[in-house]
Amino acid sequence: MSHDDLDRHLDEQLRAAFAPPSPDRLAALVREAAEPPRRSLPVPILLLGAAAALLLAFAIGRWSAPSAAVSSSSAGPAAASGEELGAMWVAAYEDAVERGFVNCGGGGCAMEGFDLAGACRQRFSAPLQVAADAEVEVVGAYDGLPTGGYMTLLTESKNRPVCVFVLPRSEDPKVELPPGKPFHLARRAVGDLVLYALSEVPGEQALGEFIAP
Amino acid sequence: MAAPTLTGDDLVRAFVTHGRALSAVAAAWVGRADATDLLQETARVAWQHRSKFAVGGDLRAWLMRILRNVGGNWRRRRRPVGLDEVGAEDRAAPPCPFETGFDAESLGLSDELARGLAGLSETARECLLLRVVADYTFPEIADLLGIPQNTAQSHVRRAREVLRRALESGPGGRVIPMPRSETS
Repeated sequence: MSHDDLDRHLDEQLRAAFAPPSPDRLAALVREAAEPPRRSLPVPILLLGAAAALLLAFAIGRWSAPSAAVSSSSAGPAAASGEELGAMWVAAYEDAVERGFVNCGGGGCAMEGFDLAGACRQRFSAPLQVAADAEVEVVGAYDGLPTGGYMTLLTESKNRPVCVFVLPRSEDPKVELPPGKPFHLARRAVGDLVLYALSEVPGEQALGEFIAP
Repeated sequence: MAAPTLTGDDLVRAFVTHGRALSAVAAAWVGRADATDLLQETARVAWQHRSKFAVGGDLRAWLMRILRNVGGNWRRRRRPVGLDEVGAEDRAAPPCPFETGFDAESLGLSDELARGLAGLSETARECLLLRVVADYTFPEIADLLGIPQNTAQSHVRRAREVLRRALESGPGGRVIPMPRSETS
């Protein structure tokens, strides 16, 4: 191969690997960064809000089947440690993959028609969505083994299954994988939320597709 | 009368207009996977210090300075706050001998090219990516990075030599990087 051919091959690989984010995505990133910090509300209002949220969650859990599937069946011990969560998440990931991931079938695993933005607004009062031109696709919410009570998304990135766990930044215990497991765990903060991607390949790129609009 | 300050729309426009160059330089510092986070951190710092920018000045150059400062801090910390890869499998893999924190493996490049890129200095990667990915001319690269034009050209020429050798070495081949004194 001549130098020119090698250079052409080189340039093609570099352009593909280092393609910039789309203009929409860049604009969303900058708007998010330029948002003024939110002011804390006075404690009594926060307490009233928390009580109202609890009542609402109870009501929704009782009367709304899809929400119940996300919030109750994935619930686990409150305030689990990072190591405990890591072990739970690996078990959930293996379970989802074993059951076909996208089409988990009988017993329930992936919720169809899952509305990520709506679920995050309802659950965390925080915005979260996938960028318009994202390669990652949210195929559902996991509804199987306990995952510590946190939202568990089933996503596909480059045709590979990736579980994305969503939790409030303030509750992040810095999750760690159990030793000896051949998985990757990537973490990214998006606004007031923290996302962890668990998969067999590094998941940073998948996490990079989530934005707080 | 108060001097005009940078608005959020100005910042968005600048990032969209110069996104290709900013993204290339961010990737040169921290790799493709973390580049988006570095861009966002740059936007946050720029917004925080917007009163220091004289409206009408060179916004691209100002953002690039911030990006390179933030990128340097990021590299010194090795990983950004709020983003840490805690996988187990790749820890067991033999480390790339020239790996300096640049996560070339996650780029989806061939192993040989990834190793070659990891062996370059930040400045050489910046020059190469600005030339190839952002399609900048050498005078533009020199102006943006504050280096002489012939230095920018040398960086790109030498970086290409290293990467050509990497490609020619084939899978498993050992890449001999340029000595740091020559590439930085």
